[in-house]
Amino acid sequence: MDDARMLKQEIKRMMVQNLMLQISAEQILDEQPLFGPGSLGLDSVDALQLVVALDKEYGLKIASPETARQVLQSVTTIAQALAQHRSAAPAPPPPPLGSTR
Amino acid sequence: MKDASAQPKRTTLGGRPPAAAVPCLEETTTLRVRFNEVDALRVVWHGHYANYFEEARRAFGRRYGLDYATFLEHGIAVPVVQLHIDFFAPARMSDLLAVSARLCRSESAKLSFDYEIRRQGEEPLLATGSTVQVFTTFAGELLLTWPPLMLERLKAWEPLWQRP
Repeated sequence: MDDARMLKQEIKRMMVQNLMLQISAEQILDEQPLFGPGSLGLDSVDALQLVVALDKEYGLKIASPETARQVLQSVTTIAQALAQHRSAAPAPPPPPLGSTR
Repeated sequence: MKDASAQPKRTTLGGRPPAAAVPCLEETTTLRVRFNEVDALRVVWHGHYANYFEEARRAFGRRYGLDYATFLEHGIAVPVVQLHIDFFAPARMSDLLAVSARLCRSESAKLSFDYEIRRQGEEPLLATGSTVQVFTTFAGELLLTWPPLMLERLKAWEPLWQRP
């Protein structure tokens, strides 16, 4: 499984766990809308919970409604935002000298 | 109506399981059941319990500085988006009710209240319930993070939180 698919699976599991969804991660489709008609049926309280979970688990901060509208459309858009966030994040500092031997 | 022997079952919303014990703040107010609140069976009509919850929430707001007027001054609306009530025994006309509102700390930007209604001075619960309120602009846009006003309040409440 490539990185993108693994990340989407991880997001789905995170959603099921944090939002206490009564379905399995496998039942969530990548492109399925999260809110509105024909969607996963999330509501405003779920959106707030999702914002907290994305911050806590991935360090992705979503503060503005505009960003939320873009990111919280589907699992795919969340995965894209996380991938972008990871690539923009500074690389971790090198280990201290002598720690690798 | 539910079996009172099943108490205490602090129900959360939408059939979701209760969260782990978190710190809370609580206030109790009393109110007298009025003639126009009872139905043909002389018990309080179920819809009025939402008003009783609101009364307790307003008392909470007066005590902890969370009144609606302050929200309005800051351009914030706080709509109720979830409401849950469990009924155990009927309240009747002229009963003096003790209605408690308990706000539990939340990571996400919302107000989650739990309520308990008893006759004043009596232990058995007549009803319990919960509400969730979110923060929005007057245009109805959901605020995804705590507004500055609430961050101030949360800081002020820090020494007051009590574990249930």
